[in-house]
Amino acid sequence: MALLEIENLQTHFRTSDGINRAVDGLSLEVRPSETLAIVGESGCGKSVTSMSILRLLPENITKTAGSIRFHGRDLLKLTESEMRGIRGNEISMIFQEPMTSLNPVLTIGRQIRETIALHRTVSRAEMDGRAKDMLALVGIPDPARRLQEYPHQLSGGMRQRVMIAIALACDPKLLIADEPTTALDVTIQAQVLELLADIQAKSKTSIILITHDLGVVAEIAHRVVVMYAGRKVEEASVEDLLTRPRHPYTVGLLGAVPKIGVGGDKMRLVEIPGLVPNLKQRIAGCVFANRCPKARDLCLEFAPALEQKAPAHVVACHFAEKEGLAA
Amino acid sequence: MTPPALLGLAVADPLPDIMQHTPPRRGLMGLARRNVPASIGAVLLIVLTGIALFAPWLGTVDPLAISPTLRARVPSAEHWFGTDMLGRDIYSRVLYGARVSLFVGFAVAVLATAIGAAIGMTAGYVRWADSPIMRLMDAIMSIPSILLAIALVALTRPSVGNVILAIAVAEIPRVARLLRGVVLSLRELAYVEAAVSTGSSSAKVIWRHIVPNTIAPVIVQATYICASAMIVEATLSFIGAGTPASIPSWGNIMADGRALWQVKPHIVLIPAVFLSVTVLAVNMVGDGLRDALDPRMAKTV
Amino acid sequence: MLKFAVRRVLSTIPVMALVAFLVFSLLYFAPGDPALLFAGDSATPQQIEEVRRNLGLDQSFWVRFGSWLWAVLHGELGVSMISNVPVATLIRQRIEPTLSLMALTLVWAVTAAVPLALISAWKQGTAIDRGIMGFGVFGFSVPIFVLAYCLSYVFAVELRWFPIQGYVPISRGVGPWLNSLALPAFALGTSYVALISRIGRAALIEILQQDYIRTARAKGAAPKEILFDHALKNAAVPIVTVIGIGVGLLIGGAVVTESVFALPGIGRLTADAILRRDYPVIQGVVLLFSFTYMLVNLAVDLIYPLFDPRIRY
Repeated sequence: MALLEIENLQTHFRTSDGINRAVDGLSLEVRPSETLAIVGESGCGKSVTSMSILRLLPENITKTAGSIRFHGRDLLKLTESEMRGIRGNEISMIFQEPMTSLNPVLTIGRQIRETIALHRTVSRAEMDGRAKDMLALVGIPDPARRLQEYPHQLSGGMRQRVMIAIALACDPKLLIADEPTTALDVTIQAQVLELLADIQAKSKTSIILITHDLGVVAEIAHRVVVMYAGRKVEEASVEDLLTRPRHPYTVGLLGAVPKIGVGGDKMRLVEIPGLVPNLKQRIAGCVFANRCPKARDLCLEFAPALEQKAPAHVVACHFAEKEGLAA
Repeated sequence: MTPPALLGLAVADPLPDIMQHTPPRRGLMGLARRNVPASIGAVLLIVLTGIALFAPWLGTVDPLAISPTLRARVPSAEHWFGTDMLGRDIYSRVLYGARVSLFVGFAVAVLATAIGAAIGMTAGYVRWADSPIMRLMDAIMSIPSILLAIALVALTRPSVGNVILAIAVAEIPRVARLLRGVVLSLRELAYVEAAVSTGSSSAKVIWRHIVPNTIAPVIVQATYICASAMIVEATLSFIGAGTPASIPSWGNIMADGRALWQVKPHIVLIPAVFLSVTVLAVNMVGDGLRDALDPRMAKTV
Repeated sequence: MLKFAVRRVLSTIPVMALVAFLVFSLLYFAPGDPALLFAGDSATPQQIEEVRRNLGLDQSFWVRFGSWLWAVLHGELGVSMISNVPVATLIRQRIEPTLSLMALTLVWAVTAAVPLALISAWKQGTAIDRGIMGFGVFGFSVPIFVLAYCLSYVFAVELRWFPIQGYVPISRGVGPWLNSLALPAFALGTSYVALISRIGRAALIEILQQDYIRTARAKGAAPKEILFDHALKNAAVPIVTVIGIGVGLLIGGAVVTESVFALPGIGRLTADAILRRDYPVIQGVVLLFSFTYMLVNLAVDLIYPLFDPRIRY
């Protein structure tokens, strides 16, 4: 059984000039102890999806529909206080901005202990011990001293490790990592990804990794969901998706990954021409049609449904070829 | 066009709308609806200005005319707001008093803003002048503003002009500080630096690039100064150190009514309501302007 | 840390000197000849001249400024032209009501304003928020003496819950003391509450949009923890700053409040001195209040590191 099942999720925002249909009809599932990557350009709805799972979006301007079942319970139907029992406890989240995601006036120790105190009834000494263990787990040297320090005394990479420690303090079943390495420099990025992969291997926590970087995906994900304009356009295993992409958007994205080619330091970077559609207007046909090299008139008219085009490979494109499936 | 089923296409079901958009109203009414308090404030101010301007034609009598036989009367058909200890008609005095309050508020706002802006821009733009100017401004700001105004009017012959000057002096440093801050942040911006490096004269740079960017915060600040100046004027008059007693101002009327406060509260209460409503109106307009002109400032102030 | 604190303290000295200079100039340029006043109406020109020499009034501006400053540093603020009592003595006699009024006002205002700011920021955009902020604008707009009279009419004249006027020293019991200060403190504090809650709300709203608040929510923190453990701690610096700045408002307001309620404090002394043009008293009081105000704000600056570990002296 899947750990998390999202079905037909719609997350819409009220803005001054219309309703932003940021996520529109997304379905996906996360299995136990797997890493699922959600990939797409900025504004495709991937972060909104993760915030919708934890219900962290501002309630007064947001509305959601569909269902998000976690262990079979629909998170969208829980009360706010039931939801608080899940946040940080069964589902944790780490964010893109390690520099600003920690409270500047509280010690690191206090911020780790807070999560434990919110969800467990343990003594202060146990909490301290746990906090120290967590810092050691995420590879921070001299954890006893670091517990007394404030975020501004730590580097960006260290702070992201602290964020991971906070997220893991209550042994969550699911960790949502929203662009966890984007703000870090390249060497630190690799270390943090390695840490996430390690933790996954050790603790069997499922991870939703949100990123725009297919390089990151290749490194640690098992399966990939490609999002575009608030919708899922393709879903497959990592190998399948990276080697045999079927949606023209995924093909474009892969083209946009900087590759160090055989010719030495020659980098190839193909931009996808055109602009992301305005989500405040209803789109009749395929959301990618205006940028798609293969688009025909019918694409502007009829929105393609998600179809299985190969084993464990789902695509929303009228022209994606079927293969390897019994008729 | 051929139905999609015939082409063998799998078509996604359209998704429902889960939220309805209500487009904002446009035009003057829309603006008023979005800024209800500011609109109320503006209407009140227009009415009060009208009262001040047309006081002689609004059924008033000479606000200074004494009638010893009609002292301290309660409101009646003859004297709508009653009379004070000297038998003067409070309705007439309050209407004429609007002139003093509004004029002082407006004059202080203009004067303090103009001088403060000039000082602040100089400090922000001329590096060597910055420190001495700002130390002086700090010193003036260290003297609580009502106290400074009190001390200044105590030095001079009481007159409306001196009251305006005294209140303005206390407000100038606040404007200067605001403007200096704005100029300092602007001069770091690329286009101002570019203008300086291409050899535009200082005056030109200030006029072209800095002045337009400072107008919004200055207008907002000026409204708040106007409101506070009206309060300070009334306060000074009330303790007997402000507008000369021969000129009816709201503060003076209240000062005259102090002695009878417990038995004839209306003498103090009526001008008090006028004053409070006027200041409230100016503040509501100020808040509305702040929200409309500078969304970033709206968050911080 | 200590070094910075010392530097911060030292940096206020030039500003204090400048304030002293401004305040001295006020008296120097005051109209009227103090020698005439001191010598009395029947004095001969020689006597006046002698008084002038004795008071040092024949000296140059700078010499007089120097000797005045020297005296001020020794706690001498001159002599009242009306009562012939040293200004320092007058101030000492009247300090208790003023200090009591200010302390009480500060306590109730901060106690009221911080929760209002928290509620308002948390309920931003709702009717509760608009109500609180509406009250804030109202608090700014009603002059202290107007509020003072309205309160005294309702609660003292009509309901007789509190005395209409007068001050009871704390030595005669805390109850009567509080009773005599309740209305003045309420009248004086209202605009202060408006100021603190408004600035506090703005600071909190900005903080509630920060990434670390989102982190706290993602941890499962409830509104109570988010507001008190996370937001309020971060808003402490702007809030204590505005509390310090608002003391200026309290000082100005004390002059009016003490007049309305006939409290025998320094504010009342000031108002009386102005009516009688008693310049040495005006000068002494303005200097005292300004220095107090500066020291309060200096103290506020020095306690910043308690609230924000990033600020290191």
